[in-house]
Amino acid sequence: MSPLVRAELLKLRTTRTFVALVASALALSLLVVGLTAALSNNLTERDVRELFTADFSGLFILLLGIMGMAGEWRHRTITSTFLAAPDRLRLLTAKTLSYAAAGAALSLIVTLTIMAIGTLILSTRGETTIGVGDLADVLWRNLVVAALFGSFGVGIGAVVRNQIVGLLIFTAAVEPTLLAVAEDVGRYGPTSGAPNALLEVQPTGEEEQLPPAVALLVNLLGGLGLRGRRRAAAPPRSRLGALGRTQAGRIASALAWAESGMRVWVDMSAPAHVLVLRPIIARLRDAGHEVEVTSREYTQTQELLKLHGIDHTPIGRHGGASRARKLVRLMQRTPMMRRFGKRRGFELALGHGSYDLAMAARSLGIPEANMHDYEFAVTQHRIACRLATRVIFPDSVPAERLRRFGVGPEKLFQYPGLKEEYYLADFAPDPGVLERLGVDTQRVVVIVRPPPDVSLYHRKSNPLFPQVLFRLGTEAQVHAVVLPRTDAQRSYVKSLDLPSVIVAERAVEAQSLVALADLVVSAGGTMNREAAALGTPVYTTYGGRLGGVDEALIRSGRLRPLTDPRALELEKRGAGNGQATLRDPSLLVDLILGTVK
Amino acid sequence: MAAVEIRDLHKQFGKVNAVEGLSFDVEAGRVTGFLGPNGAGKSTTLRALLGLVLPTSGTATFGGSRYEELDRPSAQVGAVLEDAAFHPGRTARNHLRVLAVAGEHPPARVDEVLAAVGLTEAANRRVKGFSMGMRQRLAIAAALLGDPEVLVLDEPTNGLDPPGISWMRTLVRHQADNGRAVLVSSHLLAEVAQSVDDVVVISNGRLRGHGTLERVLGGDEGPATEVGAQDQDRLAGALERRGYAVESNGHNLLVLGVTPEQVGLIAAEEKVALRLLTPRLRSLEAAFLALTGDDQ
Repeated sequence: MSPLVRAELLKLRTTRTFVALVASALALSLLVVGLTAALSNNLTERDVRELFTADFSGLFILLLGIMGMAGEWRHRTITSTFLAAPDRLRLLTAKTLSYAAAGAALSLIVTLTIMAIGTLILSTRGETTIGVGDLADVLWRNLVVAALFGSFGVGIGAVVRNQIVGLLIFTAAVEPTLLAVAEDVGRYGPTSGAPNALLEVQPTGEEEQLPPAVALLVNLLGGLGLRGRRRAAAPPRSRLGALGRTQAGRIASALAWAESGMRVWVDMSAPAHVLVLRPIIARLRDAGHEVEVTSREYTQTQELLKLHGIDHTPIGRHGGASRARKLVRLMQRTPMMRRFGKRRGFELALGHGSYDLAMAARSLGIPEANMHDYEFAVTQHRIACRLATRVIFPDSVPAERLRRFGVGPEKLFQYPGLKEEYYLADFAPDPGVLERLGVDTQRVVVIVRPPPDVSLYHRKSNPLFPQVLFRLGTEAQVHAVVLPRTDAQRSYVKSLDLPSVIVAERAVEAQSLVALADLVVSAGGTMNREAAALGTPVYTTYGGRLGGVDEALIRSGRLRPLTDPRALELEKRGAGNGQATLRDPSLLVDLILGTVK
Repeated sequence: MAAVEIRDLHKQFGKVNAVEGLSFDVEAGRVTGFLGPNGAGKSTTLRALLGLVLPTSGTATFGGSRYEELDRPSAQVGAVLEDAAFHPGRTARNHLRVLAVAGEHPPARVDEVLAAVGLTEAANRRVKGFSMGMRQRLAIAAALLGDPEVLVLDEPTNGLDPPGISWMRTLVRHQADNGRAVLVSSHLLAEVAQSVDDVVVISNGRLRGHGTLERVLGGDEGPATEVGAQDQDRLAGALERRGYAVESNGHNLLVLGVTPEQVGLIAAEEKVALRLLTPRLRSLEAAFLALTGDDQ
């Protein structure tokens, strides 16, 4: 942890403010939860969840953040703080992180207490209670919201240096404005949202949107705060330049839209999205729809788009060297997406797990289809699920696993098979790829893909990958092609100097290799599933939690988990052995178009 | 390379030129007094040096590096600014602990500097109960935390009682004797005159004089001595006969252009018993006013 973050946390611990705010938040929350639990009758499980979700500590956490930043001016300690940390961007980042942590800590205390007391009261009265799993889910959500409020407060405090004025401006101006302009967002603000929840314990059905709505607010105001304090931090003008250049194209497409199909907005934020969405975009365009693509500069996303000849507008540039800058850029992408999508007449938005698109589309009122294929994904996917109009998953993911992300039967649509079976439908392998790498096709051709973690085979490493390499690399009848993810991996594998191993020097056509290989051993989810779709026998060395898709593949024997390299079956694939399973992407297109009623 | 280098520094606030083309150096191992009347631009210069205001043009650096470019600022520069303030609810020790964590200084330094400024007893009390003098000592402790090579003190004697002022002088002298560069600003000449080696005099944002105390403020009048004698009139007569200008300030005599040794010798010759014999930099005030007052 950086010294500045530790210093900020120490600052928090060494005044009485934090304790006082915890006590106040606790008192208010206990009062409300206690009264509700004691006086309400016939509560459903949903009501109880809602009761514990109603985050009364939000206002206090916001206050904590505002005081933490604006208080530096009030107590005139800001000079000494700047002397200790002359880089103001780093200082603000440290403050933001510290108050996120403090907010989560405050919420943890409050939520655990109200859960304990609330459950106690409810169970003595014989009312409904909810299980530990649900409680944990509610707790998790409260903590995320609290962390966001904490950093949000720092943002307000940095813009409005008077802490009292800061709070007043937020409650009197920002929140009502949001309520008026974007009710969906504003209603979850900490000062009207919390009292609303207080007044009507009955859920409205949309309360699941709390975390992403707050995330959006934080993005907007946090970005503003950083820019306001240190103008040199980001050059906002140049980023808009790229959008300005497409003005003519925009007018042209707006004219075209008047007479043809729908205007569709597709966002690609990772290389895999390009693969999945490419055939879908082609079919949408064939059907007369107007598709505009936005992209994020992330690993090889934009190169891949270029390779496939897909025109796209880059939104949100790469962060550069410092971690703080990266964070800023990341936070700024959502508002930039929103600006892009505004007044372009989009009728449908489509993404594969893109939460920027989900938030921007939701705040602009554009119906959004969000595709996924892994249910244990990171927080941003959960946000994407909650905000999407329609969520599209493979049918091997059990629907009950998605319910806790706010995905009910009304918005969940599932398709048979793997997404790879759809996007590989028109794929024809390049037969020259093996020859160019110098692979002896008489031998058993094995494709090996290392795990993404660069340092995995150094300290604390999982020894499986090196073991696999040694096993394959010393077999005379084998020719193994290793596709490293990084230069470090490349030089590591080359340094082993194994006789039967070929290291791919540059990015190669991995799909063709997989299609033509006798065997694939991969730690990567995408390559595993592509091999399964193409009918190539495949072992997975993936160490994380397997999603429903991989579980189903393992159950049906199309994917084999590998724990010991000696278990590898090394044999040539005979003719007819291993049939590709390919499906028509039009099915997905229909599911996507169905999002617009 | 000097410890502090101010080069053609300009700072404009709106239409007001707070600092206009200031250049001077502060050397290691010396105490440099930064003198000028209130509003002369002293604080602005120091704030520019510490990266708290952006110069309109010119540079203010520590041996060529701006404050924000220093690797570990608090280990290289210690500063006490005029508006040094503390969170009223935090104890002195906790205030220093926060700074020690942020500056990556060993935790043991906290108690060392508390002892160095004589706040060990008050370490666990909240700052809100502190006197002006205690706050000033705490600010000094914070500046010393990283054992820095350069000390920048803006009006450090403000609010201090006479023992406090004397303590501050000793501390400043001690730091310079240990090879550190010390820059002390003041609008009161008398407070720094006894402890500084060099002076930088500014007025209305411009440099008025820079060099050793004697060179800048000594003027042509030479030394002056204050003397009190049992038979004051006889001594005054004896001095005047030898050609010295003598003034009376009611109790004692001020003799211009003469050292205490010379006055002592004359008194011995005249067999006058002395009550008091001390050097006086009387001409300093006059020279200071002459330097700073011309375009006010």
